Amino acid sequence: MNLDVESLRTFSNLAQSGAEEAADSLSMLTGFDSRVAVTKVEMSTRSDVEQEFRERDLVSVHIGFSGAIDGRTVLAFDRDRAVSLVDALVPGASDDPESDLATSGLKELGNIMLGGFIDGWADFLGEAIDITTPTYVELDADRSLVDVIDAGDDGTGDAPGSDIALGGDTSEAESSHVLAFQNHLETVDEEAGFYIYMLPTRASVGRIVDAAGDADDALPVETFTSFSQMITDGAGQASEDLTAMTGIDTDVDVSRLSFVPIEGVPMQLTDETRRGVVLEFTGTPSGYIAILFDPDSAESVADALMPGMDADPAMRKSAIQEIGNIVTSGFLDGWADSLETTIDISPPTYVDDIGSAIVDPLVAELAQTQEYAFLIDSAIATPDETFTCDIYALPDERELRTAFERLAPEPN
Amino acid sequence: MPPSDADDGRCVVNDDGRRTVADLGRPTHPHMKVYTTDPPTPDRVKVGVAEYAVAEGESTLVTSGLGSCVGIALVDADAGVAGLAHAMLPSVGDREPAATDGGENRPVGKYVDTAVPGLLDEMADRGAVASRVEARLAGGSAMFDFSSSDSGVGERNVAAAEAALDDRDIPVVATDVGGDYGRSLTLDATTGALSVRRAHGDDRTI
Repeated sequence: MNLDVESLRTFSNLAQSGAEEAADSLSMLTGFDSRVAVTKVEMSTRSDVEQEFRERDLVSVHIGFSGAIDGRTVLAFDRDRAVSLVDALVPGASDDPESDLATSGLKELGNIMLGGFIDGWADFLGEAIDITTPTYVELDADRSLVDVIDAGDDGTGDAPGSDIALGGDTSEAESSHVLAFQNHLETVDEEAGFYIYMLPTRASVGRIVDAAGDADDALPVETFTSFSQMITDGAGQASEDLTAMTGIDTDVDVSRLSFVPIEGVPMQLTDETRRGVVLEFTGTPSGYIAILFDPDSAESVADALMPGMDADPAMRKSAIQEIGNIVTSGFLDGWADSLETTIDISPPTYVDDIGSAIVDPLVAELAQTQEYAFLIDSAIATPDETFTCDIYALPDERELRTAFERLAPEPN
Repeated sequence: MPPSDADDGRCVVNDDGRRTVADLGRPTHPHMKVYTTDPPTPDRVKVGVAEYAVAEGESTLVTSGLGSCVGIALVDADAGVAGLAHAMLPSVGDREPAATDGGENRPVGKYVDTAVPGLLDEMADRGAVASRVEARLAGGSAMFDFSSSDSGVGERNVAAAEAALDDRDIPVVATDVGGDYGRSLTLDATTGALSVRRAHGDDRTI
């Protein structure tokens, strides 16, 4: 199967229109106005998607769909907050948020929102898509997404979890790549938020690519998975270097490649303060990278670098800059090797500012020449929660495409 | 085809605090009722990047994380109608036209030169009169000095906002622009007071 940027744009538009349908359905039925905050096409591994569920402590409603395209769609949310919205659907449901009545209201909410979401896709394809009845699922730490998807199966006997994979050849379910569509919806007062995940089957992805894609521009889907793997390897190297430097064990928590409308990138961060560095890289591809810590993590990292020292703010700042350099090199050096090119990295600019505002100028620079961005985001964390280091990389889209071509297997 | 409400990046709260949408025509839950009474008007409306929104009465409009982006706050205090835009680039014209750039689906709120008229139209629909509207600007900072870029996007955003407002004879009564730090904004729809928050340092109201 091949995938091209035009198809990714189509996917992004479809997911956006579907999410707007879902937001409208929510607004009409509950009276709470809502908006689509983020739409992402994620080229992630299944375990990354699961990680997102766990990080946010979400429960979910699942619906299967079949017809023009097949797959699963999931509405994930914070139960306590969402339950306050369902009174309009099931009067009295929020009086006892743990009740079966409340669960039934949440299932209905899922039915309505996901139904609206799928309608947007059916409209594009001009073909009907049937949906199954909703299943309410709590994802606890012992369950994998595959279990959840299977639990949400309507009993027709097919195993939808098995073929929802981009890198379908790999037998390792944990590392297999999923083309997942993620939307973040929130009520305008930000009291309640919802995540819609859509996991189409590989064949369904192929069907849309065939309908919307630009064959001249298409690259084998393995190119994207190779790149995704390169990012994971880069994050792994950065994690090792960070451990070597601080003497604290670290792991790669998240490593994701996604395709997003460019204005959606700053909304990946909140307005909480972040400290770290921003660097520019030039080569094929060029782009920007931000290495960010929450204030507590920044302090912990600086302490780890200067143990027992009574470091003044200037020394701490320089320690953070040094960490930023190390993490960036670890992260990007592997790219240069894989792509057989040279990537130059600028000196780091220290930042201590509103998180989303740090990324905003990088996005504005790129937005002058591109409407969508490939966003790379990784998180490196210590098992004991001493610190978390977030990495955001934004390569120039056209240059990244050139890089993809270098990664692509020779055509047969 | 003109852009529809659904895809131009706007987020507008109607008089009754919700959008008007078509009947879904989908079977509903037996216990379900469709909301028929007016829900509470949200008193805090979030404006995302490349979006704008209009609110009236006892409401606030908020937007966060302005770096080089510019926040354009407009208010007709007599009508009690206010609008806030979070624009990313000065002009649609800055982009080379391309078949794949989103065409008419391009978010109106993303560019200063489309956000200003869009916001004013939306406010006029809600009873604002252009000759009474006052503007406040915040953002447009220069946080980084990138080697690949020859231009201050932030500075150009502010200049474009001033020009678009000047063209329409709308006075800019206060600004908090430039510098090398980010800002988050809260606009009081009743008074037009714009509160500017930074990561460090005191909040400032203009």
